[in-house]
Amino acid sequence: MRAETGVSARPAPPARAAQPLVLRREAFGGILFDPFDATHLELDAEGFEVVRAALIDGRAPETDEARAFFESVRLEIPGLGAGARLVRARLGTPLPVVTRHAQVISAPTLVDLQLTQRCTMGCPQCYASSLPDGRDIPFEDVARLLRELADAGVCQLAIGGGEPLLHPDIVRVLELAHELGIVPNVTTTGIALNEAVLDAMARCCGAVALSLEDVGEGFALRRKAGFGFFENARRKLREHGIRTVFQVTLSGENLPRLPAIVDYCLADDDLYGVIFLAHKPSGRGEGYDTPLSSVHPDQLYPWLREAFMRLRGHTRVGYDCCLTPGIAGIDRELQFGDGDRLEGCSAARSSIGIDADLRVVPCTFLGHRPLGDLHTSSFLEVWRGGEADAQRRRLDVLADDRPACSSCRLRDDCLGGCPEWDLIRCTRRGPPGEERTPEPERTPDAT
Amino acid sequence: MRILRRRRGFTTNSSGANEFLPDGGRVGGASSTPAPSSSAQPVITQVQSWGQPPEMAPSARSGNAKAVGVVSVVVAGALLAVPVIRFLTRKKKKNDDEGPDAR
Ligand code: SF4
Ligand code: SF4
Repeated sequence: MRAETGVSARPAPPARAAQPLVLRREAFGGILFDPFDATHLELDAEGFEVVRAALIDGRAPETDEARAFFESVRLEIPGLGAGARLVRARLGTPLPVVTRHAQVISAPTLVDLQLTQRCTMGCPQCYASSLPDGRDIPFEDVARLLRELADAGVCQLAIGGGEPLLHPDIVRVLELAHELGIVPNVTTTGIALNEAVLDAMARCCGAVALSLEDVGEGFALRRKAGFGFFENARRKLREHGIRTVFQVTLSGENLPRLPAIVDYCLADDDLYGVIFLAHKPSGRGEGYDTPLSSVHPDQLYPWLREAFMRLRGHTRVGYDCCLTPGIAGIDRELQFGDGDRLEGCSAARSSIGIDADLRVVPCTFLGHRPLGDLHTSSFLEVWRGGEADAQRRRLDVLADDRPACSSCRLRDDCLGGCPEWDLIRCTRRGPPGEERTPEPERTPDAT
Repeated sequence: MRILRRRRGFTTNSSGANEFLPDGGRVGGASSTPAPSSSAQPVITQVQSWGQPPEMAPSARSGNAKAVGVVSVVVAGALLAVPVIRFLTRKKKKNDDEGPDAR
């Protein structure tokens, strides 16, 4: 058991029961995932073999190099050692790499699950256009799906909706995912946070997110509920020791509110993290807000930088993969080291979405681009199918024709942005209508 | 033998994996998560002022947002017109009836 590092005098959260490590062979080597704190390591082939031999065969590393490497992995995942932790291993033949830039793994590590389309909040910017009479996935279907995902080696679930807490079997869903070794995480408005749900969250969830597009009056305009509703939900999560994330979706409209939002986050001394997301013009949100590409990148960057710098000493700061071009220009300032790289659009690459009709979609914003139907196909059939491959290839060629992207040092990490919408621009590309041709930082690949 | 990529942190959001910044695990809070051991880098705290708020290009507002703007102007115009018409009508009626209480 590891030492706990709480900073306040609040009671320690109820311990989540230990889940096994995930060890997955991949074309580049393999993945080691620790559900305890969601540490995800991608190892090269030699390194993976050292870890596999130690964890599965109980064989200690033999050479100095292997010992030193294993030690470096143990620094990332304390307690790692032969027999020390249960391991959920997937060591079959990995998928071959089929694209030039977009890495393909044998199954996603993250699945975004739209557990229900139902929500009673009626938020005007809802990207899922959720309604009070939206459909739930029946528990029997969820249970079958979760078993498939566990077999495939999926590590985390991002459960959303609709409002997932309105699903009649939410407690059973959280418990089953946890029991199968998958870490369930939930995004909620905070409605229906009753004792049973709070208890299940504390026992099973990695983290729970509350959406925060504005604070105070501005929140009330967007959520059709007063800010007290949000603060009440935060209080309940805190009282139950549940790791809480504030999810801040940024658009052209709420960007001027960023200082107030950051100040509010800074005033919360017990936050697990703040995640910035790029607004997508989908569902009701299409008419309500405008993507960040509407803001000149030369103006946008200093503000994003400022938000990250202010928050980073206080809590974890993250961003969704859709926002990556916005971070690309400040990656050096943010000191991304080797192995802490940027990751561009992860749709059908390391993550995938499943909607409430059991359709597999690249991400939950792309409901109009279904990749397959889980009523008629298995999850892995869809992941390995032609539609998923076509989605990856779209991403693979996205940056090829742009002079700024094809010669950018970050091209293989950033991938040029969202393949669907112009969500955010980096300073290297410039604003819409002004495609810049900056100095090459690398030789563009031959096409 | 190399660690090719490292990520740490629970993923709650519905748009794919998010990266937590390299030193993003310094604060425990309710997380009970140990700070990433790999984060030997110093924490940057070069906070500057926010400066001028960024502005959207006027032409960039979403179509519906523009439509909402147009509709708002029309509705506002209509709402303004109502009391004006009522005032004029009342004035005419009053004049017609030659009495202040005629309604
Ligand atoms: S130039 Fe293209 S690849 Fe490079 S950071 Fe900008 S969007 Fe990403
Ligand atoms: S397709 Fe676009 S919206 Fe979906 S995850 Fe990728 S970048 Fe985000």
